[in-house]
Amino acid sequence: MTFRIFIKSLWLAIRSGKRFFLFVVIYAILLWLTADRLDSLLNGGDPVLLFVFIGSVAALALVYGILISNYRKVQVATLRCLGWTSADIKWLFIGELMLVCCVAAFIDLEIVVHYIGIVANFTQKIPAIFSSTAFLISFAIIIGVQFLGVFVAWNRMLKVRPMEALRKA
Amino acid sequence: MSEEYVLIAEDTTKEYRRGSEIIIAIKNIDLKIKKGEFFVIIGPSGSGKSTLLNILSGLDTPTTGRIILDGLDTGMIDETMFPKIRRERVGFVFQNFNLIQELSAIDNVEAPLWPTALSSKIIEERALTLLRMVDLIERKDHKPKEMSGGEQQRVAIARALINNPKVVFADEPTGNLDSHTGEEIVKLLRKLNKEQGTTMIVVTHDENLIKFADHVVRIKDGKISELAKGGGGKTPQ
Repeated sequence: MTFRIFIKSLWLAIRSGKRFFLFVVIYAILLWLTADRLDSLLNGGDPVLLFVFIGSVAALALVYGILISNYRKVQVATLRCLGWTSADIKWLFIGELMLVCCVAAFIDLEIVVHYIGIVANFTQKIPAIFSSTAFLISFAIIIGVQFLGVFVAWNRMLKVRPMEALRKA
Repeated sequence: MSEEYVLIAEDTTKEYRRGSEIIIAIKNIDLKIKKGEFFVIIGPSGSGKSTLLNILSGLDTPTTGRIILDGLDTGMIDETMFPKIRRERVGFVFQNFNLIQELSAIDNVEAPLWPTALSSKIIEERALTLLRMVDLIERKDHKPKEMSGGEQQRVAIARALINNPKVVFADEPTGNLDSHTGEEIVKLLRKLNKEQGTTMIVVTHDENLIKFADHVVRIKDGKISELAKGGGGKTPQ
């Protein structure tokens, strides 16, 4: 049943339209920059920028959490009236945030593959981009940081009594 | 005999604190609602009828007194158990329909059962049966935005019934509809009440709904001012 809610949350996220695609693009850029800086750090570079990017991802997760909680206020209040537990509600947020991160990572991988293909075609050399290790670690960091957004969204939602939320809407 | 009552409110009072002031929303309410009744709670805006509905349905807790919902004393139930009880015993119909805009009619009807262990196939079958019952089967894949207010409220009624509830609480179900559509919605609620035996508790300020009710309670300034028999739904038949 949790799996069913998770799958439905992915649909809901995609159907939310502009907000979803905007955040996918921002996450894709941040994931790229984080992977690039992490790769540089793994090769003895400066860690400062890496922390800046991770901080940006955390800030973005917070903003996204607040946005989702505002956008889904009536939805969540209704579902709570209909008998969804707070744990069920949490899966709605987890689904959306995970999907945004995964689609962003997929877009980055697509760009990397095409970029390498094009450059290699013209120069006969494989261009230097961040390593797959740096990319995977960055992806894991970004996924981990999303739980901050999930927690914020979830906490904001459950503070308000469902009928109160519906009346204010 | 408590078995014949699906809902009992005993000496129920609800107070709110607003700054240093204490607001008494409802005071010393005693109510007994029989199984299968079409019960209307009527009163002007601010009379406390919605507070009463929230308390009767377990969405809010009384300051004093007790509520017995389908044999369960809600004051004795752990807070974490309430969602399960709502899911198994209660349905809701709202004034603003509150359908999820991104979902189709059938998905909206199914939504209350998604967190349950029932298979997706069974949930879908139930949703289709209910959509057929509210005469919206041909619009099952339509989104709320593509439907009229009356159709959206019919979807909301189907959603309220998907868990085979003992009681359906309707908070101003005709409030956002024109009078003709509003009357059709109440007729539908009454029909389902008779056919399925589901107890319907309707909160409204619309005097026209009295003719559909088995019993009517009038709320004024947080107190019951009158408890009377309604029209029993004879007029619309």
